[in-house]
Amino acid sequence: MLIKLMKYEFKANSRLIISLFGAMIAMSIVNRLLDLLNRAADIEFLFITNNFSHSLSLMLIIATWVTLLFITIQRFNKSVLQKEGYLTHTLPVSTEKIILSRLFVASIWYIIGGIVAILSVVILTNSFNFSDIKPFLNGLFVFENLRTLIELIVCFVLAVFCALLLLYACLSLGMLANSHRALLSFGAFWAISTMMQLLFSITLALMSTVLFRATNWALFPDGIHVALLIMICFLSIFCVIFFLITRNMLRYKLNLR
Amino acid sequence: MAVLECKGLTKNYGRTCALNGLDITIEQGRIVGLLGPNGSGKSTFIKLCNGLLTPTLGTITINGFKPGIESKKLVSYLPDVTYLADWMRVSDILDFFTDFYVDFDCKKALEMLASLRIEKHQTLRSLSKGNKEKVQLILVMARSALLYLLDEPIGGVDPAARDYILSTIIKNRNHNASIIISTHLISDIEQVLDDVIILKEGKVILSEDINVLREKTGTSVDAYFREVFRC
Repeated sequence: MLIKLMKYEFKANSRLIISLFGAMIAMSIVNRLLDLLNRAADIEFLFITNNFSHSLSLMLIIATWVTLLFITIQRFNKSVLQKEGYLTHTLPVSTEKIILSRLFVASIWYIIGGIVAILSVVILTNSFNFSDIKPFLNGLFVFENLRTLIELIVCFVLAVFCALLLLYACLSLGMLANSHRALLSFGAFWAISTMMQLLFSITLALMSTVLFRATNWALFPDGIHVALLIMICFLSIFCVIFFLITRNMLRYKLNLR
Repeated sequence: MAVLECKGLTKNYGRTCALNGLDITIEQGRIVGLLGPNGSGKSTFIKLCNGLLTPTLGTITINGFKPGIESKKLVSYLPDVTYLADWMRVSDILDFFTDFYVDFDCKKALEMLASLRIEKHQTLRSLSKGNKEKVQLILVMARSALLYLLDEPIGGVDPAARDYILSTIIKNRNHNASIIISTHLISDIEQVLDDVIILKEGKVILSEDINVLREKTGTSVDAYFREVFRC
């Protein structure tokens, strides 16, 4: 059932999101071509156009991310908390699967979005050299680097989950208000994110005093892994907390509009 | 076995009591009219049966199951709002129901859609409000459910469409199934009902076989309702 839910979740926004990603790549290619043309012809008009379209490309990348965020909020709101929720919540599936389907699909879009944005910047700046691939991959598959890379990827995925679950939890908490739901959701977001930052700062401070200052880096080569593992634990705990808030709100306090 | 049973069902919204200690039992194969003026708790009761709300007090069971995954497999629900996503085509929503409900009969749904000249490839956005409501009803009635919960199925459509909707409900229901129809358009549905439950301010003020009620009062349910709730 989770796969079926994800299938329809993909269908709901795929056309819009794929068009956005396509536009991002297309704009970068146009820029690159203008750049090449400009170098070849050295025409002032092309130089101005090129600068303008470079700015446009960067704006498009930012706009795509803002739109992606807007779509994530809108999709959860519409399909879970508003009228479409009458269908969503009467399907013979668990509340957990409803949340997870939204979470996984949105995360996949964000991860693809990240890859597309990197690709756009690479095309735009021509900062990629194919001859660099082999040494890069050789370096990557050294055990230490690979371990760090896996930890970084886990950290990144958990950070995406955590951010999305925070959004879902805040939107769900908005159901406690009979009116001004958006205001309550925003208030909850502000309060929870401030608290998270505070806890994160305390954790960092503790880490630096207890762990690093007391230990010589030379005697403690695993420092980066310890830091990443602490980060993974920190993000995992918050993911579980936000997931439980969302699940309990949808299960016990559902108030559809 | 009772298809639906609730005991002491109470639902409060803050300080407002929407339902106050409801005891209702619906037997298999009955068509029940859930009647009452606005704000009497009809929609709240139906939402509680669907697990869209959690009771403050009391219990509710559907074929022995508390509202949850198992009960949702048995209940076919028509809400009083248009709940289908506008971007979907009619064919998408048919696939959706086929994927999620094992008792959904796609062939039956297609026949009903064809009789209304609604094309499969049309997006829901392009349909009129009345046609959207008909599509929703077709989806609900194409399931072979044990309990149909229809919240205001004829509220927003013209009298000709009401006849179509009522005949669709009667023709397509599974004969072992029970149907609860919530409405205040009593005269339109009176002829199809077996039982009547009347709610007032969150309480059951009457629960009776419709023929017994007619014999007792010597009048139609519509006239009786108007008498009870005269302003």
